[in-house]
Amino acid sequence: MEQYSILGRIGEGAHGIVFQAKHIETGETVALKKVALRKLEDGIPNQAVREIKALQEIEDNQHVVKLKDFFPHGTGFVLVFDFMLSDLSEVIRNSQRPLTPAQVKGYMMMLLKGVAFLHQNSIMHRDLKPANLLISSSGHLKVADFGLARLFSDQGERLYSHQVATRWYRAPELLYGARKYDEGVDLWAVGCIFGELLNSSPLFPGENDIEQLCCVLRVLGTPTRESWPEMVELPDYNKITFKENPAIPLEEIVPDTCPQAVDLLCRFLVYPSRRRCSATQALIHPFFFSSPLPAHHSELPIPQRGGRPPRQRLQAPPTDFSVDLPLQNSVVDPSELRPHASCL
Amino acid sequence: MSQLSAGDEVQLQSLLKQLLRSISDKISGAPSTECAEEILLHLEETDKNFHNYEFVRYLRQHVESSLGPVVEDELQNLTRGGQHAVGPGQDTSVQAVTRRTRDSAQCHQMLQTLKATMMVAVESLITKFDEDQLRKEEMHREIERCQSNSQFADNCSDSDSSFNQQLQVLAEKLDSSKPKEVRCEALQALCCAPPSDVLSCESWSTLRRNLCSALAEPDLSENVLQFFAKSFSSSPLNVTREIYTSLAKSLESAFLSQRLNFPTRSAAVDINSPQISRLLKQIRLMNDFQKEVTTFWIRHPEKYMEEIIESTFCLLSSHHDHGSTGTEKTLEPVHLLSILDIKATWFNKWMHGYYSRTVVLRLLERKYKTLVSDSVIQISSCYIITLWCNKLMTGLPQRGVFTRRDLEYSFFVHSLCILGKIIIYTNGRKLFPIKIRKHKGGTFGFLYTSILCISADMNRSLHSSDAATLFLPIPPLSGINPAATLILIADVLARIANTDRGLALFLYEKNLVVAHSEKTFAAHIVVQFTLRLLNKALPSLSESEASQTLCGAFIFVCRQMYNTCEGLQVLQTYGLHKAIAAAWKKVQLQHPISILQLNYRCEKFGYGVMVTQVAATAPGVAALHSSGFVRLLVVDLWSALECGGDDARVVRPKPTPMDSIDRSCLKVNAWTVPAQGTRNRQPLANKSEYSLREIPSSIPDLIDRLVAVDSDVKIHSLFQYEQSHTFGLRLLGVLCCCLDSFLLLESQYNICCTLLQSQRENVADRDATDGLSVERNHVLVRVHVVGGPSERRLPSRALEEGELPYSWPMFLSYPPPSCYVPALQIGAFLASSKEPRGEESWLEICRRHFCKAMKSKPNTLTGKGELLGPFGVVRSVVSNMAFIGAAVKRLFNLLVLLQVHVPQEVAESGISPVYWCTAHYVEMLLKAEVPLVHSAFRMSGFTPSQVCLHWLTQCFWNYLDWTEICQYICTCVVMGPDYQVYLCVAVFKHLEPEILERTQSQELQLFLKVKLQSRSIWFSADFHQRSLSLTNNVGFLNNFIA
Amino acid sequence: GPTVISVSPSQSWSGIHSSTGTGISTERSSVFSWGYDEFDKAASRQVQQMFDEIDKELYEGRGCGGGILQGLQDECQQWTTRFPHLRILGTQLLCPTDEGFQWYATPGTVSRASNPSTDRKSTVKSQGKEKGAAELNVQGRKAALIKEFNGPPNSEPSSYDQPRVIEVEGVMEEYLAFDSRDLNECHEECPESVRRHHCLPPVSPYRCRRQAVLDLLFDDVWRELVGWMKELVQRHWECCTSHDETLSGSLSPVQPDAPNPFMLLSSLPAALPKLGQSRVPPLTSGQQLQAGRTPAGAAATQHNLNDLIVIHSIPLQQRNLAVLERSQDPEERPSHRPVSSAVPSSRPRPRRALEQSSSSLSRQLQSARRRNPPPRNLLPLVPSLSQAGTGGYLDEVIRGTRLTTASDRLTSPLVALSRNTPLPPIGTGDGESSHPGLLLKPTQRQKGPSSRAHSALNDEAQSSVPRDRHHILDVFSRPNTTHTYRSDTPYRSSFTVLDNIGQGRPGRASVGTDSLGIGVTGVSLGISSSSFLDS
Repeated sequence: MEQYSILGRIGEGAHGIVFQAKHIETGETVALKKVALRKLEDGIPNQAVREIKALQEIEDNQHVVKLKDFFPHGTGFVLVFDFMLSDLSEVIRNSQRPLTPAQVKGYMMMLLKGVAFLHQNSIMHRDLKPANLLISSSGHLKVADFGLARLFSDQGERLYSHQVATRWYRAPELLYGARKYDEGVDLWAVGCIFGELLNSSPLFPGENDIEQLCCVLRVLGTPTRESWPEMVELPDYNKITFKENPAIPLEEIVPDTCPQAVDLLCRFLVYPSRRRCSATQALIHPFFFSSPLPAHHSELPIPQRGGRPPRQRLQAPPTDFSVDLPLQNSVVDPSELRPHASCL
Repeated sequence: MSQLSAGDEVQLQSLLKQLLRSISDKISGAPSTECAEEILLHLEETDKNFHNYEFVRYLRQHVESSLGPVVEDELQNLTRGGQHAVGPGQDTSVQAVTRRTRDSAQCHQMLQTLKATMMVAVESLITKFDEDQLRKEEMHREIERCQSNSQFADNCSDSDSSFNQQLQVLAEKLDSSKPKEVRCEALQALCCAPPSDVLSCESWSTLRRNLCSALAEPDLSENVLQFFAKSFSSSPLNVTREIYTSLAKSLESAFLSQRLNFPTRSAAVDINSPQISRLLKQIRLMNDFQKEVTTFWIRHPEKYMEEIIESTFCLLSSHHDHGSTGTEKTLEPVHLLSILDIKATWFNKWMHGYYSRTVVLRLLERKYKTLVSDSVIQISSCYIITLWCNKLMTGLPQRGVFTRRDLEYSFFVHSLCILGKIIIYTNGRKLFPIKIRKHKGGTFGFLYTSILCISADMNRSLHSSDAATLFLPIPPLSGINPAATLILIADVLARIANTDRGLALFLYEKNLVVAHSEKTFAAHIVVQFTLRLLNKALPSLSESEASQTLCGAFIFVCRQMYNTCEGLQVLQTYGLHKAIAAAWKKVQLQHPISILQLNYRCEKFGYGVMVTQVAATAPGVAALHSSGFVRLLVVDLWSALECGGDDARVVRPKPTPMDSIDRSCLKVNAWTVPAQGTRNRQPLANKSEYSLREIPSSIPDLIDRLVAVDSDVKIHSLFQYEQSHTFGLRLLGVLCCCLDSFLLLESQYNICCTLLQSQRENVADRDATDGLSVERNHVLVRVHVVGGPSERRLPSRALEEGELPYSWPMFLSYPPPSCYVPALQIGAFLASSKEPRGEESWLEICRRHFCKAMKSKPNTLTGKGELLGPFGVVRSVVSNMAFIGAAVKRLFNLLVLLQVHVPQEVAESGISPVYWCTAHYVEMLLKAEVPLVHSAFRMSGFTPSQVCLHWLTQCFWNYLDWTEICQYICTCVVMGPDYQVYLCVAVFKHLEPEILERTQSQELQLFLKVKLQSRSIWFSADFHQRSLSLTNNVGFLNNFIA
Repeated sequence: GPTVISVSPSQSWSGIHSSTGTGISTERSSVFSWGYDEFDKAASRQVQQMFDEIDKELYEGRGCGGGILQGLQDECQQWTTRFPHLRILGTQLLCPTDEGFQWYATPGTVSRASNPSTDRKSTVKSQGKEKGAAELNVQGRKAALIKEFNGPPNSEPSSYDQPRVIEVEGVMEEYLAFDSRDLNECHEECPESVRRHHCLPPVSPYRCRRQAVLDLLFDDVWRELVGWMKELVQRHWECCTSHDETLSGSLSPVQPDAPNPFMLLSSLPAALPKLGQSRVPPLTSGQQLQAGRTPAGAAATQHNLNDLIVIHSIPLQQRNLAVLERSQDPEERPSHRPVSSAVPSSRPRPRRALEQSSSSLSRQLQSARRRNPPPRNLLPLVPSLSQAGTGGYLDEVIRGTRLTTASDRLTSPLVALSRNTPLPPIGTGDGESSHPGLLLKPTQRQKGPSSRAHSALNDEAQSSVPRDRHHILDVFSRPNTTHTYRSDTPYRSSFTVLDNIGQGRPGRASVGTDSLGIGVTGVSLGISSSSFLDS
């Protein structure tokens, strides 16, 4: 720990607190994620092992954060990552520079490459969302936060928790309480992220779990036995029923996108997990090979150092609304208008 | 040196001040002033930064410079005197010297002068300090006052009931019937209460009514706003909504009731006038909230957002309905809003996310369409005037005073921003067309058109110095710098040109632009303008500092157009590249930077196609060499292989990389291959010693260190011997895919011998199958056995599971075991004929085999005897097997040459005729026929032409079976050389799915050059069909070839 | 010392962590804002142990991981099924030597051309000739300080301009130290302004002496200066405190912006008189003070920090004069600015650089840099130390209760104090370490190659129970800038310890005994290089 000097706090997640720190020896800025272990007597929880193992096994992919170091610290441990200036949710919310189609493609390609790599290694992330996709100073997108990651196997006898993934990105089978699922949950999330990239706002912003399901059903239509045969086996299938409604064509949900994008989105947002387009398949979708070509990472917005805009909030911010500021500071300077206005 | 000048005094003072500031928290932490002094005295012990303070440094230096010589003298005296201190109890030499120095005259003098200087500094600091203090105290009192106010809140929130009562009282006090003072007091009290409580209290509705009415009153509005502002930042949702809607409502009524006049000719709006100021402050608060609310409204029910949007639109669309005849305009909320937020940031934010965008658009469409039409009217009226008015108005603008024109203009920009945001979106465009008087052609695409009009106008009007005014409306507030404005325009144009539709618009739409009263293509105008920029034909611009950037911006626009095949076709006549080259030369004289290096810098942040294009030609490669580009690549490669990551620490074992070497170095591969082709004869270094800091700087160096690792010295010079050598061998494998490269390597470095020697040593040393020997075995087979996929079998590179992990036989000398050469007649014959026998007999046999092979195929062509004629002649000349490839290539070039006349300069340039004649058309056709593959190539940073060149120059040798090669040649001979083009396109089409996949896994080049060699899938039955179907394009292609 | 290296296709816990034996990272106290005390250390060790067990489970297979739970075993099995886990465990015999430096005493000739060799394999042994033991020779590898260096490094005038850090080919290398006597001789004509930039710590006895004298003189000047500034300070203090009182009635003991939690403590000795100094701080009895700022002499019992730390003070006892006298030893003075060159706190390291700790030299700089000067005139109050009980010598007792995790930032004075102690008590055993190699250390030090440098003092110091109080001071509380055998120093086990025992500073140590040969050894060339070349 003394190799690092803490510079500040970056954020706090469900799985730990993240600090910005400096590696004293190299002067490198890093992110330290401090994960506390609740009870030492209980040993290391599986989750911690999964997070660390997942990061270790996939470290050499360009689109996954790299675990630089790891060490116990007090009743917990610290994970050391490269410090990232921003994450995708910030990029999406930046209204100054809305993403161009090429940039959306660029991000999707990087995301899919990262996810494809995870899935090739039998790791499901289970918490993909824009806030967990970090943006490096070179513009690269990197999948981060493996706090919920775990290995999956094709044998299908393993049971998993359905309390995974952030609500807006949670796959319908999870909302129905599935305990047996696969990497399809990640692909659903990828679809949601894709939609969010296209729309600059979340695709299914449900306020609670029930409403989340409503949001999904409203767009995809009420699932039927044909569209989702496995649905009847889901634990919570009988607990809730919805009024039947037809699907809304995705063209209407993402109105400003090319047909190929809609087509690709359709392939992610399907009820049966097995039918969702795998990340590797998605990568050779014509969407990525048609004009405009995916933006090179250097054409993607490079986050400003230190300029982390405020996070999305639940509350109105404690900003000082300027009542007392002189008006002159707020209005445009007429002298700037004058040369232009003079023609009028 | 112990003198201190006046300058020192000043310096000392500022340093001292700096020190005190740095340690002020230490001083303030002291319990007493004496302690503070103590802390200062012992600062060195407690402050790790002590010696970093400039003041301390300065002081130390002063002491050292003043007393250093004295100390040295004393020390010398001491040594000379032989006085050695012995033992701990006695005085040490240091102390003795210290004492003597301390007593020296120099020391006293130094102290004296220092003291004098310090006292002055201290004195003046104290004076300054007192002044600061006064100011601070004032601030302090302010804060205190506020805090005493807040006590109200603290006291009140204790109990709900009493609080409610108090609020009741306040609400009553606020009633408009009450005297001003009472209300004012009540308001101040209210500001200190927690807003959420206020709004949940029973008397809120009364309170709200009273607040709204107070908002309209000059003396009270400020306080009400304070309360509102506080509520916005610290209240729950429903509160902020209530506040916002109240604010909007009361603003609306204020505007309706007050009927402010829009300033006429001479009059102006002064923001400092009480009335305007009050309204502005209210709108400003609204606007601030508008911009902030987007960060959190998605997490709440849609209703919340809807109400805020609706109340805003309601306010903005509220109008005084004076008839259309009324010349007297009124000042509307939107005018004030536009001077506060001229770029309509609020609207921009609202339109950003789909979530709010739908609501905004829905409301606009259903209820507030007038907002849009107003904007359109404002734009069109202003725009038309702007376009034709060059008159500059003089007159000193006064801060805070807005004339009619100022307001009109800011409203114009605001409207432009709103409209611009609306028409970006499909659903926004559905609002159009909007019926507006006197505007033909609707508004659709309005902005694009206007921008194009302006770019068309550039030519005409840039002669006049005030032309800049023309461009002003487009980038709001860009200032009056014409170059800056043009750069922005270029940016817009580049963006348009970057899209397919935009490009087509520029290239083929004649109705877009009218220049010199003549309709013309936008692309031509842009290019013409760029040429004039390059030739410095626009004096008004060329002088400006930004002229270089401006040129760059417009060249970029042109590049967007002419780097497509269509664009090049259209714009070829301008010879833009010559102009650019000329300009470059000029610039280069000033700044001797290599063009290529600069390009590399640019291309590093793109897909890098340009460099590979350059590298496809011999002069290009030479240029890459001379520019140091190749060296850069080699160094990059070396550091990737040998230097490890940034954080590599020796003590921390890294996991052994499996395949990462390939991936990390692949890009380098792409470029070193063509570079290899032209290396002049340069022997390998084969040094007797390599230092660890020695980094290879050229391709031969790289071969020396990584490929021909034939000595212990070389092995030990590598940090990661296995990994790096493996990479070297794989690199060799890639290089040798090009037969020319292989011949060069073999003739110069005897590569095969080296490898075989290593294999022998391996056997002698340990007789183990290790990664390197497997790799070497693979390369040895690859370079020695020639033939298509069914004519040779390449050994696997990986070990297999099971009894025998590596089932391929290793060999220690050529020829390789027969298992690598399946018994195919002609292949076996060619492989066996080491010694050229009599020409006649060889040719005879060859002919016989060939005919047999051709007959065995269903779609055999006749007349191949003639074909074999020249081939055989060439073959008989050379003895080395691999020269056949080159021979066939030459033969084929001959064929091409017969068909197409190669211009003199091309021939001189050393560009391969194949490249010259074929590659371009392959790319062109590929874009039309197999667009996804075309894109795939762009994304992987190299060009289809490169691969074609590679295949064609060696006549598909090693990629096709012999019979197929013959078919291919025959096809081309019989059907014409354009079939060469179709054939390449057909191959790409055939490989499309795989090309896409390999592109994403970043191994496209490796796949097309190396991996394809062991695959026989691609010359399958449907291949001919494909290539024949392409003949539909014959006419198209003939146009170009002719 | 033994070090575990593990190599595996997939990274192991220990691949990252325990490769350094007992862990570089965890067992050292944190000087930074994360609180870290004995309890945390123990917890860290426990966590590390658990991870080690998981590692065993992963690498050695089912059941090897000792006491790990079934669920975890299953998890491990899943991972090993999917990813093969292999590792080779062993003992590191050779210390990593990349970028190593080595210092040599010069028994024989000095070849002036001791430019750092760029070749890592060649080891230039330079020897001094007629100047004999007064000379030092710098030896190093891959220390290409400046490309253009052709002559002796210290004759390169360009080094004046960037005295502290020199950039070479994009990497930063630190110029540790060199003796600049010759330089001054050669460049007598140099303008002083150039010379004063030159602030590398001196090495040779001559330079050390000169520096020591100047340091003392600087102290004089500083003392004078503070006197001159009296009024200014008073103004400042008045302003600040009046401000504080009104703005924050209950000022938190730790300033939120105080970068260093040691502020609590570091200001503590400040209130005590500097030894050998006439001034005595005012004893303001019963004064209301903040916990962290309690002057040690204040006879007050203070409840603060939410009653978690109770500070008693015991009336100051008069020190015996001998102690004062002894402590006044000027040799001690320079030690407080051993790095007057003020190495920037986070200097970039060369790319392939070793851990800073692999070189005792750089370690020295680091530790010296990081550490606040310890309260020299206090006994180290390490709880386990029996001397703490010999009340007669106690100036004060500070008793702390550990703050719970919530307030970990408030490092309790107790911890901080022991942290400031440069040396662990000899003989108390290394409580933090379970590693056998670590326990060796103190002994090793005593057995280190003897040298002429031994003074009577040193011999005394070797006995673990100090006979005289000022020896305790010497052994324990004097900042040992050369070899800080802190139990928490990484790689400590890898050194053969070489020390100018008791004196600690290579250059300064020699002040008293001029014929001293000086050895500073780093980790570099050989196995535990006992490169103290004595002759």
